[in-house]
Amino acid sequence: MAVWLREGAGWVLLGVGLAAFAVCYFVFLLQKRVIEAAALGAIGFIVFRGGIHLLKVAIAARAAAEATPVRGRR
Amino acid sequence: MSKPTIIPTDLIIGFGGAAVLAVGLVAGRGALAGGLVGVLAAFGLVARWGPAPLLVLAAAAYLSLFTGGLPHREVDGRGPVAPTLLDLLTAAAAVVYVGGHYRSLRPDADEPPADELAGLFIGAGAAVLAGVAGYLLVTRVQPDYDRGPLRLLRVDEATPTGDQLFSRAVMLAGLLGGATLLAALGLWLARLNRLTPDEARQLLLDTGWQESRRELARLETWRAAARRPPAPKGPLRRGCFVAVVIGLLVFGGSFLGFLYMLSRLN
Repeated sequence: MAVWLREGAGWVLLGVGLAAFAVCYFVFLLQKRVIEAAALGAIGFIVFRGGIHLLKVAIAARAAAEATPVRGRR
Repeated sequence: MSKPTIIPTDLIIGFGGAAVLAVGLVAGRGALAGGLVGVLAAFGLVARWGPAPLLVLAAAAYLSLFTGGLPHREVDGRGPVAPTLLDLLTAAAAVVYVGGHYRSLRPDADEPPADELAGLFIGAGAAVLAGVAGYLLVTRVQPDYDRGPLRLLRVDEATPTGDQLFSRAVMLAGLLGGATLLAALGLWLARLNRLTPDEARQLLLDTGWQESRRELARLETWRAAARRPPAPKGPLRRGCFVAVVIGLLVFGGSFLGFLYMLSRLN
């Protein structure tokens, strides 16, 4: 269950990060608001990296658990 | 009697392609633009400089997509909104130049590979298609903030370059960056879904170590310090002071940036 929660959270953060990049580009950068774009880009980068990290760990944990199922608690 | 110097065929092909490329750019985008690209290509061929074709292609692509030329001149009227025969010739010349340049760099450039001609034709076709797509992207697609992020212009309202140069350059960079990001993400996910159990275990172990190594190192430092006899305390806790100063600077900078953004919004 924790793995699926983690994977879901990873996808959400990944989407939020991509959305931040899109807003940064379509709203700020095309209107030549470079400072605002840089600030939102930094935020989006951190959120995106967080999502990637959660997703990576969740998928790896699922792969490891499927290979050797743990008896008792999951 | 000295042996006569034989100019390799690949070098002649490279020079021929570079000359046609330069003439095409001179005719379409201005003498300075074509001259600079031609000189760069010739220098790369003579000096056997590997990155030269990349620079030549980047310069030619910029000059082909942003049609103001060098020095930048405003284009009267609507200008061309579709590639001309000269553009197609320039694209084919670029492919020939790149092929000749890199073949001349090979140490065993005596015999051409059997399927080289087919590869050159395919490369020329791909270059033409990429050029047409890029050309249409910068002449027909326009940022539109009222109805949507992008709008496809009609042929009669499309302009080659001009006041939207910055927006088009940013648009091209953004689309390329976005496509690269999504492609990299897709490849990364595909690789992640093919992890073997051993690789997955290694990845989890590495992630655990990466997440906890600083804290573990700090704890070990404190444990080791507890074994040593206590050192006399200095008058100033320097590390703490520096952390407080950096924190105040970061907080102040963020606050000022927030105020600046609010002022721009209003």
